[in-house]
Formats: sequence, structure tokens, C-alpha cells
Amino acid sequence: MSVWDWVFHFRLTATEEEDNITHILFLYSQANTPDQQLSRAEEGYKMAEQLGLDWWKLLFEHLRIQTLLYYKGDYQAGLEAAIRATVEARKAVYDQSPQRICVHEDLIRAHLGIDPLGQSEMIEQALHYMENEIAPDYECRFCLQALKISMHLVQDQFEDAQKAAEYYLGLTEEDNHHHWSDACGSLSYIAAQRGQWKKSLDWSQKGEKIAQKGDKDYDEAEHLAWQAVAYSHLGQEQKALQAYQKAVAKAASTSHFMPYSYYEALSQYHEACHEPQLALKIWERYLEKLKNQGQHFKEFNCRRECCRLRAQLGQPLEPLLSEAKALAQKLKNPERYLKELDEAIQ
Amino acid sequence: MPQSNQKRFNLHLPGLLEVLAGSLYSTSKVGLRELIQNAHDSCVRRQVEQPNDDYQPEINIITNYKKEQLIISDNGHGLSAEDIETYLATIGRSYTGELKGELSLLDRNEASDLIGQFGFGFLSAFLIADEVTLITRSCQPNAEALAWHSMGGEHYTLEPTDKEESGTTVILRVKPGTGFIFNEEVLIETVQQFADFLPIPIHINHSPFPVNLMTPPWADTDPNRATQEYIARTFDQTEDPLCIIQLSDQRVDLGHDVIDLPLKGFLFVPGSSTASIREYGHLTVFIRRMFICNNQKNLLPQWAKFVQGVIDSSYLQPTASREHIHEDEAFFAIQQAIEKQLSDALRQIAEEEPTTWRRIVWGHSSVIVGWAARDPDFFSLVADLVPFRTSRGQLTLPEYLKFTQKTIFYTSRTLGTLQEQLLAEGNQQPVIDAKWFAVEPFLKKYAEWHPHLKLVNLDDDIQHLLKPVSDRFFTRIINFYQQRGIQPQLVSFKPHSVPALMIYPEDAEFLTEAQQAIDNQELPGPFANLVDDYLKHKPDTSDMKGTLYLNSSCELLQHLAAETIPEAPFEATLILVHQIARLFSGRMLTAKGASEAFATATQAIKALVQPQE
Repeated sequence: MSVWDWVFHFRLTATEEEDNITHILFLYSQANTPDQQLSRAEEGYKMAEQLGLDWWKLLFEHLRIQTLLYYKGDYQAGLEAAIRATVEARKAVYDQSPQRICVHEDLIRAHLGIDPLGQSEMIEQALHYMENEIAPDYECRFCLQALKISMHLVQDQFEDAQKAAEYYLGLTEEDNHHHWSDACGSLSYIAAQRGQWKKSLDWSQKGEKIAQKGDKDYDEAEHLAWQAVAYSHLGQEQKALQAYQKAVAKAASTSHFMPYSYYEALSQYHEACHEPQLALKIWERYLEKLKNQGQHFKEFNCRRECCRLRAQLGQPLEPLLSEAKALAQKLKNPERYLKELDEAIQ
Repeated sequence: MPQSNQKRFNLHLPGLLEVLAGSLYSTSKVGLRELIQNAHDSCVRRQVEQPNDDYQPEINIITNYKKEQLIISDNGHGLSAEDIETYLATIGRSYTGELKGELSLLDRNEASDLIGQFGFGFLSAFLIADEVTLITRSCQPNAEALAWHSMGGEHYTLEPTDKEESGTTVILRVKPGTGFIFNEEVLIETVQQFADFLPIPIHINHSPFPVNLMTPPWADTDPNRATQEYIARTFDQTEDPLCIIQLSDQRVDLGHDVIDLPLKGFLFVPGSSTASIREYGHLTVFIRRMFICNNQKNLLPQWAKFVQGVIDSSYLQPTASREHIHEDEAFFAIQQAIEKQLSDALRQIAEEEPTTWRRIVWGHSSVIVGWAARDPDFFSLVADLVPFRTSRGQLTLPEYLKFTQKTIFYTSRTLGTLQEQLLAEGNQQPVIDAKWFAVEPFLKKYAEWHPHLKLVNLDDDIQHLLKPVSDRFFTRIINFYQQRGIQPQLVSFKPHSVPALMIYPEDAEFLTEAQQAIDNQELPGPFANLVDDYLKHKPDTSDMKGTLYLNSSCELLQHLAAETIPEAPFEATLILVHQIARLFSGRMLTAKGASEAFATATQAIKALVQPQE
């Protein structure tokens, strides 16, 4: 049973008092800002607590985690919430709850943003566990696939990431806008990492069309950003610029916390255009958003890129370099990160 | 498509009746509504087609328990044979619907008086009857009286009969299971629910007076009095409404055109409400004076959970069963019109009738707190008036801030917040109880609107009420506790009468639960590892045992520290101080743990009261 099947059935027999809680769910979906989303998720949680509706508690907790991770980019708070939800979800009352799987995925997702390489063994074990936990027809199988792709990518396992992304695409259908767009995005990114610009362009264009249909502005922004990179490598400067400008405009229109790969694309575009100063500005802008959000891995990478570009431009490295080193200490096996940093600034 | 391939649909009437009865209509009472509606429309049709000042329309309902009959008669237009063949026996075709269309084209107001439209209302008679006889005489000149009869099958009979007066009499043989028909009280209530506002008198069992009001309260010569009486009669209220707001047509500027949205009715604020248990925020809906539904929740704004009311708008579109309304453009236009009129009226009350406004806000504080933050305009009207539970009783925020100046202290934890309140009150500062889910968002919104204010959640920010001091003179006491694995810290706090408080980290309960879940292998393997890894990165988990904050300003502790007290009473006193602090905290205690704490305290008291050997 999917979450929405369960919500539908709940409504059929809900009392008037209980129906207020489905209304809060609706209000959550209508929220205009991440803070409004958070407040509604929290309100829904407390109402569920008071009404003794355990499944609803877990649902609102899941929504709160999603808001923290995707809209606020606050991985520290998101991790803590995911841990609480996982501990809560162990109780027998949640055995049949579809939400139980979602909170497990949330926990994996949170770790992927904080220290994926340090936790790689545990994350992979968890992913493997999830494969057996999720029924073949359950919507969560898409999210699981996306997590697996992310895990391959952070480990630079492009071949495995490619296979996983193709499998993801095969699992979903074009009218499942979110997942289809996501799969296209992964394939575009992988192709870009491999310098396969035509392929990258094709996938990002496909993804853009589907994201438009699904009104997913943040997805669209990311696809456009990678198109800009691909076009610039293919020597089509005008189209690259247009795609870049569209990407920035789209990203500005969404309240979604734009992901690392979006900024990576914008920065790569500027580097391809021989504009390292602008590339640096992009990373610095992203760094301001990442500070104190607990996304240690991404923040370190961002700082590393800033240091690299500063070194290239002959600009002072401090205090950025010291801060990057201090952040590396928060990650497992800091030596590898310190080594990367050294290589980046030489 | 070649004509030879064209076929006609076959209609299985009994099957269709089953669908109507089983699926379309939610209750068999709707059958009565439809028959009353037909009777009403017949009277209106007569008024339209044969205007006559002497004509007095009337509907009569008679029940005969012995004969199992319900008879509904009107002195309306009546039906001709052609009417019966064309409309009554043709499912889906409605004379009323067509007449409405014609009248609308001619821009005639009577169109809005007609209710029926879908063309199968009459079939709903079979919701309450298994045999229907209709005796009718059209008011057209030389019309013959006809009797139509059906048992709900695919056939009906139609033959001449005797009837002197124009109009229609429907005789139903009542089905088993629809016994409400013969309970006069229920029958009257049902008729009143559906047809209270129809302008045609309805008599039941020869009642001298009609059972329906005929005039909605807003159309009365004294609408406010009539509305008050209507509310008392219809709504389950033990108190008078705090205010009544009459609704009116709403002028809407569409840019290219200006229209008047038809909207009649009233809203009212009941005496009081309680969040979730007794909330309002719903309307009873009429269309052209015919009842459609009650408990319509989406027409009022979300924050208006303290408001109830009745509306009538011909702009709204009923569903096929006429028991609900479509949530379409018309719906949203009416919704906006209601919100505007409600907001304007409440603003006026807030400005011109402050006493009434305060009664409204106080009487409905829980629902207002729960929903006000959603709408900035409404929030601005209520923010300074809403009372909150505090350690000093109910206070509004301006009253609260008189004590604290610029800081709002609150607790939102469900467990053991008494010691936070005690500490704050020790400093003459009341604490707001934000346990209920809506309070904290309200306070946060209030703080946003007043940037000079500071919001302090004492659940995790209690430290600034505890002043660290040197423990130089309290060494003996500190050592006593440390030797027993209790973590002491010397501070100074008010009230000075309190010797010690046991304070745990905010998430102590959760971290303990998580650790137990891992130890007891309650989590799936990989996730247990992830949770375990998280716990390892938490600051010192020995904190979970709590810290005993000893009050250096307390005379008892000062005495124990300064004087040479014999070992036995010294220890017993400190044990007692610790156990009292544990029990008072209300946290990290199971029933067993609390029982042990009491046992230890009792032993300590015994040691104190026993004579020294």
C-alpha cells in the first residue's frame, strides 16, 4: 500500500476531528516557503500526537525531514530528525506503515550529504537492506535507485552510476515527471563527468522537457545549467549563454535549495568560458548557503573548489584554507581530504 | 457511421433506480426533498405561466400509517399527458430545467426561483416508496385529469381520472425502512431542514400553520432578530451568538465587466469553542432557498474556525444528487466574497466594539491561536488579545510583557516543565505554556512582528537562569555527590528556598531510547549502525544521567557547607535533596525509578528522625 492509498482510505473513515489532519497535509503541500512547510509539518505532527495517530506522526516527520534536506539544506537538523524517525519507526505499530521505508531512505539521504565516503560501508549495507525491504511495485524503489546513483557518483564509480541510472530510467515512465527527470539528470551528469558532451546535452534536454511538464522549476534549472556546460564545450557559445541565463532565472523562481550539481554546472560553464573569477563567485555564493548546514562533504568540496580557483587567480587562500582543513577534520579519514586540498591549490 | 449499424441504448429502469438509491443519494430523505421541490416548482410554474393575484400556492403532506401512505399534494401547474410522456417518463429530461433555460434567455427573474434541473429528481420518490401514483390536472384550459402509476419497473400506466382542482397529488406506498415518514416530529424536522425557506407554505397532516418559515431570516423585515431566532431554533447553541454578520451580494470587478455575485445569508460567532473538539468553520448551504448541505468546510477561510453560518447563492452549482456543491470557479468566487465580508465585519467589530471583540477572541482563543498565524490581516487583529496559559494564569502577550519587558519565556516540552517555570518565576518572570502545538508558531510570528522582542524556549535555554559560582566552600557536598556517581554543579538561582534542581539535556529521553533500541537489537542491522554512529558523535552521554544543580544561595546548603554536621544526618540530608530534585524534574523516571526514588527518600527521612546513637 502506498502512502497515498493509505491517506485516501483514512479519509473515508475519518471523524471530523481526524479530518483536520488531512487538511494540514493539504496545507503543507500548498506552503509557499520552506519555513511555512516546516511549521505545517510540525503542527501536523503535534496534532497527530494529540490524536494518537502514530502513522500520521511518522508521515509528518518524514515531510519535515524532506523540507529540512531539500528546501532548507539543513542536513544537521535533517539527520537528527531522520535518526529520531528511524528509532520511532522500529515500533511494532509501524510494521505495515508505508512511511517506515521513507524514513529509512531519509536517513540514508542525510548521511549522503554529510559524510558519504566516511560512512560508505554502512550506507551501502543500508542500501542493500532497502532492496529487500521495498516491494517491486512500491514507489520508494525510485528513491532507492536515486540514492544508489548518488552513492556511486560520490565514489567516482561512473560505470556503476551509469548502469544504475539506466536501470532507474527503465523503472520509471515519462509521465512520472519527477523520477524521469531525475534519471535524465543523472545520465546527463554522468556523461558530463566523462566528457561526453553531446550525450550530456541530449539527456539534459530530455530532462528539461519533462521537468517543464511537471512544473519542477528546480529540476529544470539544473538541466539548463548542464546544457550550458555542454553547449560551451561543443563551441555553441550563444546557446550556452542562453541556457545559463534561463537556468539562473529558473533557480531564482524556486524555493528549493539548489543542489551541489547545479552550482557545479554554473561554475564549470564559467571555467569553460575562461572566466575563473566568475566561477569562483559561483562557489562562494554557494558556500554562503552551505555554512552551518551540516553538509560537511559538499561544503568541503565547495571550499576546495574556492581554494583551487583562488590559487589559480593568485588570490589569498586564508581563511578559506584553514576553514577547509578544519572541516576535513569533521569527516572520517580527513587525510584524503587534506591531500585533495593540497593538490587543488598547487 | 452507416445507419444500419446504429443501435439504441437499452435502459434498465430498476437497475437505474438501484444506482440512484444506492449510490447517488446519501439518504432516502432526499426522496422527500425532491418531491417537495417538484411541488414547489409546479407552483412557481403556474405563477409564471398563468399569473393571477388570487392564486395562493400551497403544499400539503399527509401521512397514513395504516395504509402505509405518504401523500404530497400541491395546487401548482399540474401535468398534461404530453408533460408526463415528455418529462416525467423520460429520464434525464427536466421540464423545470428547460423552462429555466427559456426564462433565462428572456432575462426573466423567475428562472432563479426554479430549483430542479437534472431531470431525474422524480425517480427519487422510489427511495421512499415501492409504488407511486401521481394524480394530476394541468391548469391549462380543458385539461383532463390523469393518473400515472408505477411500481418502479419498466412500465407505467396512464389513464384518465377525476380531479377537480389543478395541481398534482403524489401518493406513495412507503417502503419498509423509511419509517421516519410516520414519525411526525422527524418528518417536520426533515421538511424544515430541506424546505424551511421555500416561499410556499407546507402543511403536514392538516396543521393549521405551515411548518416551514417561508422567509429566510435575512429577508425578514428585522433580519437581526429573525436571524437570532433562527440560530436559537436551528443550531445547537446554549449561548447567544457573540455577533451576527449579514451577507450581501458582492460586487466583483472582472476588469472587462462588473458583476454582482448573488450571496445572501449570515455568519455568526457562537459563544465559545474548543480546538479540535468543538470547532466551527463550516456553513449550511442553500441554493434558491432549497437546502443542499451543511458542514461545508471550504467556503469559509481557514482561520475562521470560530464562525458558523448559512448562505444561499444561486451562483453555486450543486452536484447531480444536489447534496453537495461543485468546487469550481463559482465556488471560489463565493468563497472570496465571504472572506472579504467576514474580514471587513470583524475589523469593524474590532475597531468599534472592543468589548465584543475581546469576548470573541477570549471565547475562541484556542482555535484562533491554532489558525490565526495563517493570515496576516487576521493575525494583526488578534495577536494582542489572545490569552495564553502561563505560570500566572491566563495573560495576553502585552500583559505578559509588562512583567518581562522584552523577553517571552516559554516551554514546549510535554514532560516536566515545572522546574523551568520555577526558575523563571524565581526571577519574577512568568512562563508561557507552549505545549499545545499551535502556541509556539503563534509566539514566533508575534516575535517576527515585534523584532525588539526576544523569544526564549526554556526547554533548551535554561542555563542563563543559573549563575555559575565558585564551589570552594562546598567541597564536602560536591565530593559527596561525585563519590556516588552524581554529577553536581554549583550555581546560584532563585528562589533561594530551593536547594537543588536535576536538569537533563533536552533530548535525554530520546538518546536513552535510541541507545536502548540499539542494545536490544530493535533496529535493522544497517540502520542500527547508522544510529549508533550518530550517538557516538553526541557530546558526552554521561550527561543523560543529568546534572544536579546545587543552589549556593540556599540557606540549607550553606548551613551544610559551613557547619560541621555529623556524617549520618549530613548524608541523609543530601540524599533527600537529590531525590527530591529527581522527582521534581519529572524526567527520565520510569514508574519503577520513581518508586525507588521515593524509597530512598523515605530511608533518608527515617535516618534523620531516628535519635542519634
